[in-house]
Amino acid sequence: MGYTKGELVDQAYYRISGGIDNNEISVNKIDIGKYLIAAINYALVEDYRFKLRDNVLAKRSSPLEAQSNPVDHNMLTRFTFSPQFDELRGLHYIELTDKILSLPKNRGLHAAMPLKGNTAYTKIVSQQELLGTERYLSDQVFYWPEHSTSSDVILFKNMQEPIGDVMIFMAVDFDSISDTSNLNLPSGIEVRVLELVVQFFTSQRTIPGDDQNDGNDQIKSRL
Amino acid sequence: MIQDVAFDSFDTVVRDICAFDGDSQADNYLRTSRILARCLEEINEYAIPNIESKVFEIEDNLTVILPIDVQSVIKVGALTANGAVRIMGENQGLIAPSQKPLKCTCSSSSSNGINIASYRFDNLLTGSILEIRFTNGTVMELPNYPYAFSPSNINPLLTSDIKLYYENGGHELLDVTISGVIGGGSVGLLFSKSSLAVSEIKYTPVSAAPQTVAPFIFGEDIFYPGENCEDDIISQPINNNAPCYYCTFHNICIAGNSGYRPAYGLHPKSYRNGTYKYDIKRNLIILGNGYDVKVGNEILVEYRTGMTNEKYLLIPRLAFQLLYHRVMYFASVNSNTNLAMSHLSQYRVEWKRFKARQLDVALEDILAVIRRNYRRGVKG
Repeated sequence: MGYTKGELVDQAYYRISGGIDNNEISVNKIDIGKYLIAAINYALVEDYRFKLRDNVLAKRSSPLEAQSNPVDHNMLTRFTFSPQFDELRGLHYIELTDKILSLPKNRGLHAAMPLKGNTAYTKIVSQQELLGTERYLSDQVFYWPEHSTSSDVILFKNMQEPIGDVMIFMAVDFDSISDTSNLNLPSGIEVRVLELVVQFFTSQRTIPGDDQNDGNDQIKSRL
Repeated sequence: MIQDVAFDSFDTVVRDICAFDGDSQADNYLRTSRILARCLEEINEYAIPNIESKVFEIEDNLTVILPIDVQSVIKVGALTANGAVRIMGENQGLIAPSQKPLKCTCSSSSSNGINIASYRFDNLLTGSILEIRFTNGTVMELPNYPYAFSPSNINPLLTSDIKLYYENGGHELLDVTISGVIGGGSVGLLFSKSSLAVSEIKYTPVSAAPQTVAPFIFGEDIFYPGENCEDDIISQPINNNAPCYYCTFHNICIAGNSGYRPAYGLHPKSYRNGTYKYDIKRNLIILGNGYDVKVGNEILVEYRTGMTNEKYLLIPRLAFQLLYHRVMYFASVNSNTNLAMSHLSQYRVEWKRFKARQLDVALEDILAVIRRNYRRGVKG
């Protein structure tokens, strides 16, 4: 059982305050909650890069070890949507309820496939990649994400009727996770997240007063 | 043989190539697809060509317009009554009627030159009668037309008849028939086409009833250089009335003693039914003289086709190794030259194997044996 978002905020708060519920530190939990999102996303991207490096090394020793997509499957969340048709662009689309985690080559968006059937759609980076391929790729269904300030949209090219539900596997940007939701993080990421948060907020913490006047500035128990 | 192999879809081959290179999620699907499509076009041209035969109608300017998927022409011929194909010879010297020779710098074109039609009759018997009937309103533009040649025994008769009309001042032939007893062999006639129309040609062999023969037209829209032909390439003054030297070849007038005529004997004698040239730029076939070459006739063209949409869908399974190494060569040639060369080497091996499956013995293998034996031979 992993952490919820709220639990991770509490953990970070106690670590910053030295394990004491100290009102004197000038760090609020709400600020930690906000920065936590950035820290989690950073830790995930960092983890992605480590795995990418591991893949390169693994390929040297055993080519079959290597995986092209180093996104940890623990990061992926499954969603099911019914595609709509955008008449203006002549394309089917899905409006996502969550933001996609930003990874190189759109790898935050892992896969899209019909709910039924033994096929998978092909991901591309953007629509312009398809130019000039009509004569041999007219039957393939391609999809790509488009981002806006409000929401993320996935567009589909060559989707034929009848249109069924589509499963989306993607790494979610943790900005859209509630405090009570479990964080779907790869193992070991939580420790790195706490490190990042504590490191960030420690420099913001006010130097505690030497209220016992014993030359020791560390936070002391009031007991 | 190639007919026995199974096929894979384009999608399967792309995903397999990606997976072979460690890209099991096919993240590089589109790039691989683009390279694979080009490789398929390559092996389509050299290893597993798609060959089609279709019948086309000869256009008014003695050309055949080909469909857009033609890559190269293999054979051109006329279909005979028993279904055989009477093939035509290839003649790279042919030039389309409206196309000027590359070296020609004269300013005239077929539109301001004289538009000429020429007719030819073969296998005529000595003593036969040839009648040519012109339509009303036919006007002769030049006293040299019509001009007949080969054999010339018909010529005096024709020209004298024509001259009569000129002398009458009419310059107009009113439903007139020119006829004469001809010598054997072939007869060619040259007319100013823009103002003269032949309505009927009758050929009456010796001791046989008259029969109507279809006008046998060759070299319509023959290019005749008009005035102001100044050719700076040959650097010599050209008489205004002389034809451009570069225009004096087949399908274009050649200067004669008493008029202009087409370069009549240039086509190979072994292909008397006609010659052709495939004009790859304009995707058409230009036809030269021959008894099968008539406007409206149907000719059969056998050609290699390019990759149309449906031909990308099925890929011979046995070609996978060949395609894999070719794709990987192009994928790595700019980033990892050693890897690219390794794939190129493997591709060549696979190429030989693939060709060997089709031909029993690959041409490359035969050449390799010859080269090896040559190297082992005693030198000096």
